[in-house]
Amino acid sequence: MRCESELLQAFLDGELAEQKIREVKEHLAACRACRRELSRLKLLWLELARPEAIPLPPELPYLRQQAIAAARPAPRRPEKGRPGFWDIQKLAWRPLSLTTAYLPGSGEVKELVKAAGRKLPGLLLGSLTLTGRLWRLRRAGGKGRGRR
Amino acid sequence: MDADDRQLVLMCREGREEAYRQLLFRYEGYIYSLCYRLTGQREDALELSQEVFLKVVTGLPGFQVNRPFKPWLRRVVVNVCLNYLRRRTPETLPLDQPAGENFSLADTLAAGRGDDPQVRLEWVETREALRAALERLPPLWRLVLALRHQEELSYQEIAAATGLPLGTVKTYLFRARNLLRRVFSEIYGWEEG
Repeated sequence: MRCESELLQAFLDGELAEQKIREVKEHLAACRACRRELSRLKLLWLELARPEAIPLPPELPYLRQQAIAAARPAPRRPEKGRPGFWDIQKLAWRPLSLTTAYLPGSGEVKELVKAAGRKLPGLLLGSLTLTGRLWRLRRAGGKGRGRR
Repeated sequence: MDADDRQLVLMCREGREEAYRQLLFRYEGYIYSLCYRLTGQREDALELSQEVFLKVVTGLPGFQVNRPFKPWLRRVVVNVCLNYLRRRTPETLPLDQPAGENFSLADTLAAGRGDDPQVRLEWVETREALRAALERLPPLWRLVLALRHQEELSYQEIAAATGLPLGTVKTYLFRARNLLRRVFSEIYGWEEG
């Protein structure tokens, strides 16, 4: 192995493979100049790694707050007392959904029409399916409560 | 309230202002110090710190919470600093070459302060000389030095953090330390050869 400063630097950085480390150590054992160079480099390494106390400027907290105010995304959940879009929709449609769900036999209309061999318009069919589901849900919910 | 980084990041994602404040408070010293080391100027470091704060606040939704926060933050700081250096440095002045061949202790101190370098040589402190020499290094060399010796990153990690090729990282490190070694040689009066 030749005397190479770069190899000594990589050795101090801990960037050499095991085989290379062994070679460098063997070389160091035999080469006085490299041992001297290594100790000099170690001194530089110590100085470079020494933490420098950098005084923090008093403006930092202000800059931090400014960045948060400017760029923070809005809270994901709506705050208490301020209902979101879906909360309003639920409230607005509640009377209608409750009324249709309690219509006697609303869930069975579709089956009756099918049995009679007639077809219903798409819009009416959709609304009947919805009321049928609601009706079944209410019934299932009622039974569940009754069991308790 | 003491919460680890992950918890704070999760709370930030819920849009909680207090969490942002805590997270940035925890790292503002680190951010500023790293910016200062890379720029060497208080005003520049402040401007960059503010840019980093903004990038952190806007970038958190894209951060993978199962990963450690600090390496991500370091990458943000390094990118902000690199962009800044590219913006600020005239094209005629390369980011990766020393301004001149003369890198003696006297030149270093003369560049750092205005007074007579010969007079100051007599009482110069190692620390001060090193700081002055670091300021004279090309910005990219200073960057890799800070990441290696202050952040204790491996060559590979430095390459990943800066986007520089691995070979370039090694070259910058070796060259920078050779120049600094020359300054040390003068301070301590080392015999060469």
